[in-house]
Amino acid sequence: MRSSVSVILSNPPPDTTMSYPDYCTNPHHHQTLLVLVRQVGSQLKSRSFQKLYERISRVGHVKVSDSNGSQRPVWVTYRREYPVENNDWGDFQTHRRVLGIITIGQVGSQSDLNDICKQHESLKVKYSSTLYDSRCIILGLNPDGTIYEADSRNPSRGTSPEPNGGIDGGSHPPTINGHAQSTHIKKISAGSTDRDSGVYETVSSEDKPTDSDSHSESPQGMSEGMMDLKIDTNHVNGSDSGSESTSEVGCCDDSKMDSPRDSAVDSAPDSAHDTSQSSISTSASQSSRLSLQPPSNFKTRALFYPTSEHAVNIESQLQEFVSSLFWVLESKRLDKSQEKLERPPLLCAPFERKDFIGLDMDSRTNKKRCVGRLRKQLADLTLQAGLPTEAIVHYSHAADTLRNCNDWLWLAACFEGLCAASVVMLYPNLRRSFGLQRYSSLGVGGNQGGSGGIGNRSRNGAVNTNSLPTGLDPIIVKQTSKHCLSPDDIIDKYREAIVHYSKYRNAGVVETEASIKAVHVLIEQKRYLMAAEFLSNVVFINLQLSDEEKIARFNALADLYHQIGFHRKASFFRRVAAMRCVAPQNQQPDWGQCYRLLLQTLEGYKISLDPLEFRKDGSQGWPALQVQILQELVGTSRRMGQNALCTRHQAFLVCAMLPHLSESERKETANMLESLSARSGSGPAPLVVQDTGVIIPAVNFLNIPICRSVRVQPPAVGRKAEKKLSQEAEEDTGPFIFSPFSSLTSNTQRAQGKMDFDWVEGDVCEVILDLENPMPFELKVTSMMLITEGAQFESWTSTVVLKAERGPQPVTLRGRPQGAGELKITGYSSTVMGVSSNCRLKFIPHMKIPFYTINVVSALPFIQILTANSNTGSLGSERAVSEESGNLHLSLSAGETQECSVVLHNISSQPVEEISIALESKMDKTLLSQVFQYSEENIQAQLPIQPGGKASVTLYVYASSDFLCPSRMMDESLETSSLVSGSEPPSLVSGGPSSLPSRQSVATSSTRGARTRRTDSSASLLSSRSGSSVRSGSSSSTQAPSSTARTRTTLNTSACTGRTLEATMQVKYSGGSGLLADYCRSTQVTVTVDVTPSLLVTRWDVLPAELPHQCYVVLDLLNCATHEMDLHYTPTKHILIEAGDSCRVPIPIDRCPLATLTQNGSDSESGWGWSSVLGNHVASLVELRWTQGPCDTPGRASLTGITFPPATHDLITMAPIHWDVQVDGQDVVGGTENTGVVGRTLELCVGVTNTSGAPLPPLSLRLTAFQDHQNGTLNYRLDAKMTTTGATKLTTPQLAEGEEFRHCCGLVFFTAGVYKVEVTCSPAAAVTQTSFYENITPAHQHAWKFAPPLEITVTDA
Amino acid sequence: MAVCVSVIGKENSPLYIWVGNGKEELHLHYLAHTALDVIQEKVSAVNKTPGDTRELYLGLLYASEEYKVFGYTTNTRIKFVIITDAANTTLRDNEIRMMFRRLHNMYTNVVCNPFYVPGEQITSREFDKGVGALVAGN
Repeated sequence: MRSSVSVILSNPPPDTTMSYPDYCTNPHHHQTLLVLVRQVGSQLKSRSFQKLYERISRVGHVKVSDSNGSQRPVWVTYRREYPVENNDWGDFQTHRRVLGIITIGQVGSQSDLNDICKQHESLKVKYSSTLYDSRCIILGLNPDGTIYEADSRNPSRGTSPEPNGGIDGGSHPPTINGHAQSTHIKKISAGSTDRDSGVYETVSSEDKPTDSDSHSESPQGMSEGMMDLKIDTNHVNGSDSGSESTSEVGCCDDSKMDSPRDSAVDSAPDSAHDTSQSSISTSASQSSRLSLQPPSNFKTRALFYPTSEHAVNIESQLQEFVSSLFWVLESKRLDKSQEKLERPPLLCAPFERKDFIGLDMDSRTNKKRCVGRLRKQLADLTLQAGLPTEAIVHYSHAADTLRNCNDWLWLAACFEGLCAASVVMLYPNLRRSFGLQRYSSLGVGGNQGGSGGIGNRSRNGAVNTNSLPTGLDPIIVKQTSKHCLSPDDIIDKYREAIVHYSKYRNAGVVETEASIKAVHVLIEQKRYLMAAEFLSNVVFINLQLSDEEKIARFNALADLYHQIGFHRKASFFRRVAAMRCVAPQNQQPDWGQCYRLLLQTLEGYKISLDPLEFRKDGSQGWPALQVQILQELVGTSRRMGQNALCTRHQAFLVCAMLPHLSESERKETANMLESLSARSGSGPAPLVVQDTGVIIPAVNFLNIPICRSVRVQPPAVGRKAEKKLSQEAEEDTGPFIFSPFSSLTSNTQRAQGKMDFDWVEGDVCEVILDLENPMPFELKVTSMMLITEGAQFESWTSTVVLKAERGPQPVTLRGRPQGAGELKITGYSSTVMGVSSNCRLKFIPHMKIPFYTINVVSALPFIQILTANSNTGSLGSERAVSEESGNLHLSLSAGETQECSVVLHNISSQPVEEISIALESKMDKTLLSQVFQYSEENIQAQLPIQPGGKASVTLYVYASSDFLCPSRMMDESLETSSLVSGSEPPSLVSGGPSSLPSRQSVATSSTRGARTRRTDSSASLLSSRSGSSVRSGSSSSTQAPSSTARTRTTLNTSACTGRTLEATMQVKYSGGSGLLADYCRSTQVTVTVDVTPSLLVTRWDVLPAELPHQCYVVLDLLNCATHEMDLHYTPTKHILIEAGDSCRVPIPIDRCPLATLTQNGSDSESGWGWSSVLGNHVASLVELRWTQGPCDTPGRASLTGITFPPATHDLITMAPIHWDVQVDGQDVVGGTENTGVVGRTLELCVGVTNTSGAPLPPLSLRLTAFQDHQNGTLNYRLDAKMTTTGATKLTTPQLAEGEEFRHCCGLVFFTAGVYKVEVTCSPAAAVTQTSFYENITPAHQHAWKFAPPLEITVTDA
Repeated sequence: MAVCVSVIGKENSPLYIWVGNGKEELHLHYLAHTALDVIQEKVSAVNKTPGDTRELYLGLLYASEEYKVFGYTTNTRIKFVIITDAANTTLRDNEIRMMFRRLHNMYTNVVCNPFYVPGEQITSREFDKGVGALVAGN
């Protein structure tokens, strides 16, 4: 013990200046009693000390009723550290005196207790000059001094008979001052005689004057301390247990057995009892327990608590302690105020002492000075004793006195005290904001939390409204203290005081503290500018401080600046403090602290380490300084070895400050970041700074690279999924094309980021990002992938290198949806320069859409279409059509047919369970069905197509063409060709669809016009082949060879061009889970058929055939193909046509029955209807087939769309009458040989039967005989060669249906030869206009002939 | 004359800074930056008292051992800060006031440029020249 005391005493002699200023000082401190609270011993955990300290600190205000019975407020300041040097200034300002000491310690053994007592005593010695009282709180002991055992419930019996082992004792809440009660009480009574009655005076205060005594006691104390514990136990309990001879073991056993129950009983009254120190109830059972004994020289009142939780009455203990302090103080004050000394002692500040050596102490001024100073001290005490009004009076008197004797230092102190007293009166709340604040413990660490908690000054004035005590009217305050300073005066006085202090070099600390106090007052007055002035004055005060204290000073300045709202200034000083920590001259640079301080500066520089916050904030701060601070952060964290933090800060620097960095700086910072991140990469998770708990948010490189746009790509055409039934009902937008309401509301919002296409599960999907590289170098972005929500999505990473150039560069990110549902693309992640970041679209400033939503459809099969031309190759030569849509190109000559096999290859993992094929084309439906044909059933039968399987469908393609010569061509040939006899055919023939109405009307009109010309032009053409046939027209024109040749040339040059047929084969298919969701896919094959012309019908006509039910359709055929063509125009007849050659073929057909005509054509009004019906009739009967080319490619053509001029209608239609011609009773059928003899009458019988469905009007029947000279000349002048008996012209009566009219006449030939008789029947002239025929062929005069003409060979008898 | 001239935007970020040759640039930046605290305080104090005729010149903001910091604020809350050498005692308050007025005129010219977006960094060559003349004292 001696040694430890001597160590304390051997501290260097107190300095004359205070060691460092208290930056948390406050005018109210003038009013408070200073109590030092210290942790002693080594057992106590700092945390439980902290807890206790906080509890103690709460007892900052005690109300004591003084001897007059009035309430006195007593304020206490608790400090954990207090330099003795400052204590020495206690004469100068009494609030600097340490009046009380509280120590807190934990004991587990006697030696602990001894140690604690030793330390406590030595502290007392240290502050002995000013100390009034002290307390020692000892944890780990029961009130009776026995050791507290933590698990009292289950005391381990006999585990450790040795007393030292039982560290813990039974659970006992309170208290009691421990050691030898009897002596202690005695001493109290002894002390109380000296002091005021009622004061619990402790041993220590009594002992204080006799320090030597305590030292002299120490040997004894030591010897006691050395004594064994058992002896102590016995010593205390001796009277109860009685027998010294009781074995220690026995005692211990007893105590352990009894303790739980008894202690519980005892503890209850104890804890309830407030002043439990007086209730010393030591029961018999407790006596036997293990008890610790403080050393005898420990003369302090000790409080024993098992644990800090048990210290329930600590507050009341403290109140008692404080009031004890107060009474001492009060007594001193009264002493001072009453005594009138002859020679007042000279009070002086520590550094003044040597100044007065050798001065005349008896001079008048000096005496005055002494009196003034004494008065000032009295004022101090009065203020502390809770009488500010009185204090103010004392201060003003003292100030008057001191001013007269030019004692500037004390005058200043006096002013300060005056101000303090006024502040106490005016601003009682000033204390409140700092009352609970953590007191600055030793220097550096103390102010760490300052910036956050106390900093935010409230500009609203909420605090100010309540600056007077409640219920106290300001006017009353004024009245009660007329010496009280006004707010402005306070500041003036402070200013004056500071000016005076500044005259003394040693008063720097006091000056600083006075300034700070003034600042606090100014803050309370909301005069921040003035506060700033005082603060800037503090900066200039020159103090000799250690580095650590300098840091604390800058920190304190920063805090104060913060409080007056000067955040920039605060940050500036904070940064200065930080830089001090690692200044080159600093021997032990503290990078960690520097870093923590730097973090605190960020606010003032408007830096938020969260890049999102930082960007959002409109105030960008001061870039140059921000860069500087960030660089310092980077450097500091690197020196700390916190690589992750370092990388994070550098990343932030690059990311956030990018706009303010020049190109070279960008390069430099980026390089640095890369080298840093190589050491420790930076992920997208926030980091926590050790010790402080500050969270450094993740830095996401939203702007490196800059994402300009996101384009979600629809699936490729063939992979697109469609709703099988388009359930999407057209949204009813009302009757208006544009409505401002709908466009304002629904459309815009709905369209936000919602894709109007679907993705398919299991398919590779793409999103294109347009990235811009802001860096002046090539930027490598690695592991870039999409961030999605909702449906499962497999993102594939990709690595991109962005060129160092302006402008967006597209980057494709791929992935594969793994499940159906709604997929949200919310951003992308990437790693740039070793920093991985998650870039959410919603955080990217210029991205309007926070996420993109795509519907993902369940998996669908996918087929690839392969086509093979079945003519040219087998399945082996299948060629895949390009994936999206097939393209099948065929080149056929008109009329040719080809088979194409289309193979559907299922290349997905889903089976195709449903398929439908449709053809789409711009072509006419009928034409389409003519050109393309396939079997739907066939493909359906092949379902399902398993994954990897194939199905094929055969497509039959017929190169349909219009074989009838286009009209234009015919127009041309109209002039050149005499074959065409100037009648209608050209215009009648239609190149296009024959049903076009416009064409029809044109044709009709031309037909009408043609009627006028009818007389001189016959619509028939004459071929050499039909030369023998009976002519319908009257005139004849027969030339062919030359004109045929000419036709050929024109046709070749003009439109022998081909045409192209196009159709799309739409294949819709579905399967797997997608089918259940009603989705399907479609793919298509475009089939293009190039039709090259092969055969053209350039002209046509109808000639009567030999048989009455037949007629000849005569066609002029042109072979437009490049090959010779073998044309079969009837089943039996064929002809070879050279390429480019034209030839004329007659095709016998059955004439059209009248019934079809009336059925199909009756609905048409004009003769045109007849024409097309007849055309169809012909077309149905005629089929041209051919083979051509090297491969004998077959072809066929029909005459669809052919039409005939009205003149030929009678030839094509069946006659309404049936001829029954008999010569000499023999029926004449076509080709029957009839012979006659010259001079003999041949009887010719002509029977006309009405075969039409209606009654026939009267007909005129005519028999005309002629001779055919076989050279084109017909000789009708047979007057000399023959004659007839009976009428050759007559009119039949009206014939009912089926009725027959018979007419006979005789023919007499005069010369031999071949005669022909033409039997013609035509409507009687009288009925022409209104006849029934008018309906049939209005434009034509009907004549029905018996064909072929009756031929009679007459021989000479 | 002046060692630093700075134009500070509405949101307290610098629009233009000119620093005299051979000076610690960053140090002057810090001075100008911390001067904003005082400006803010002064402006808010002025705002409390009604009165339309506001003095734009804020006077000496504060002085350090080496420099004096003067402030001026426009009605659009653009702040001008001029830092002079503390040693230069020839500079009168009136001259400082004139300097600010000239600076204000030059700034007005910059803003009148239709291609200048208020709030952006000032990169006008004319302004550079003007500031050069201003600090040279002619």
